[in-house]
Amino acid sequence: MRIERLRKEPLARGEPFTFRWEGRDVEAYAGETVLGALLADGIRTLRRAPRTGEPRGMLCGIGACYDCVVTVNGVANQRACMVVAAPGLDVRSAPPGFAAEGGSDG
Amino acid sequence: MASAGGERTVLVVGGGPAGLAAAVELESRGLGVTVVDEAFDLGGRYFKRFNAAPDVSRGTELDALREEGLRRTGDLDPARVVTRTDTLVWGIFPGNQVGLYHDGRAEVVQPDAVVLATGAIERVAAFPGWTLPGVVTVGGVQTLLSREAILAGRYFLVAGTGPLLLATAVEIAEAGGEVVAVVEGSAATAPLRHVHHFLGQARRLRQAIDYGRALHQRGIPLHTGQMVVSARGDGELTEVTVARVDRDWRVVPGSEMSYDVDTLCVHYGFAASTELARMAGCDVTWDPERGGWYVVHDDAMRAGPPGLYVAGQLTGIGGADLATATGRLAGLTVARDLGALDEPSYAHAAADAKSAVRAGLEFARVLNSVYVPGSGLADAVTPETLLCACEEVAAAEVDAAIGAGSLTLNDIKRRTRAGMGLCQGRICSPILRTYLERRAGVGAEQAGQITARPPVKPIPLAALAEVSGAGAPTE
Repeated sequence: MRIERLRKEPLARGEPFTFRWEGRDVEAYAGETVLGALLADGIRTLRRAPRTGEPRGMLCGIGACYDCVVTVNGVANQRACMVVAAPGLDVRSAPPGFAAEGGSDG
Repeated sequence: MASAGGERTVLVVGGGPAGLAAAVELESRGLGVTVVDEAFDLGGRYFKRFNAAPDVSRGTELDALREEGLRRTGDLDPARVVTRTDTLVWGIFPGNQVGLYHDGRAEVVQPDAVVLATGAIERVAAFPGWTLPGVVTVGGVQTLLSREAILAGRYFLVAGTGPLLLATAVEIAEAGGEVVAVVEGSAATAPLRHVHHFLGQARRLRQAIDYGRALHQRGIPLHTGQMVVSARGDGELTEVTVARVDRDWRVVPGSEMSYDVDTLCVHYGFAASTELARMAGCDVTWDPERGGWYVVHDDAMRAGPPGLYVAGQLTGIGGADLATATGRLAGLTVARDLGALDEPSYAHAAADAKSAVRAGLEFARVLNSVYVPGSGLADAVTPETLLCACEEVAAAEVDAAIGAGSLTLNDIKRRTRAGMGLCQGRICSPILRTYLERRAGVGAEQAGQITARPPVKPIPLAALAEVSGAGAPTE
């Protein structure tokens, strides 16, 4: 499900840039969080819980619950809702050394 | 914290309505103020700032809040107030030494006074499917919408309890989302028992009527006396089931009905973020009329050790007006205690602030009595339902711990790891408390709170090892 950013006039988002999610380009605008940009791109599942493997994404959206943690530039457990999107960020679902989708230790 | 000429400095922790109000009082009395907030902008959850697309309208409600937030943060004199956003307060130690973390670096500062205005987080509930992507908090959706002009879904169900449900449903609809229904757990008649209190609050009453009318105009049904009992989806949310409940939120069998939605916004009230206050040595007390755990303080907002003050939701869950009044009062008292405000001026200004606090508390008492989940909230839990999302602890494991005699949150944590994960019990504590009450008849005071330890939120060990500043804190 792709979510539209609100498009009321006047639109003042400036020029889009891209960062990487799981190795592919995702568009973002200045001031957006990684969470916001991913949601707007239709990405709601950000990781798999390590024990049950169940999917997880945004819950509280304000930095309290740590459900939306991702790996940013190789640093694990970064809250997607608290990290401001920036050009060229490398954002991944699983912690370093783990396969994508929360698989076993690599 | 260093300042020229031995100026007295005050650290305000939290840049929401309470912290901002305290900062305005302090700087206007000539004190050096630093406002720290973990978010990357000031304003807190109520006055949301707007990093992206400042000219994009999010609807009349959010636009008005944006204007008010910008005005209040604009009131701060940058020459006297240092703003440190994206900065986590990870601990507080004897002598009001405060641990800060920003961008890979930790330090400890020692201001002359500390005002804790750390606010509250929303309560969520455990039911089958509550951890699915697509189940989000009302506040999270609001924040994303107001700050980034991004709507977190397309088809929404808004559920839980409290006036915030109506406000959020209207905001979502104004932004173009489809709200299929608002589901309020309290009975429709619950607010009527307190209508005389609402009549003294013309602005609030007016707001409630406006929201109700806006919902009606948009054809959004409001169902009272119902709660969410499960959420489903193949990997992401697609369906939510609600059921009718009685006054204690016990499910009426056979009353279930389902909605096809991609987003479920939940909100079951707030829980004050008391971790830092407790770490600082403040006492907390359970009082349902103050919305649960609150920090014990005197009538001038002093709490715990000398030099420590509290404001906002820590002193009772009561919304932005009460938070602003307590922040003003805390700021005035700090200024007086640090010698920046003489006694007659203080008495005059504080009397006004105290009367605003009393009025705010009176109204908060009503809201906290009407909009509070009943014990049946825990009935949606099945043995497989996770009660702690971080450590993935299922209800069956908690049942075993209860059976083995664990009747406090700390005991359950030791036996099951519930509350030991990244969120350090922030999300699961209210869930576990509600569950303990329903399953074992254990009250909130007996269940207690999970002991707060530094760092209150995870920071890199390497940063802690290189702590600089007033001295290495010891526990």
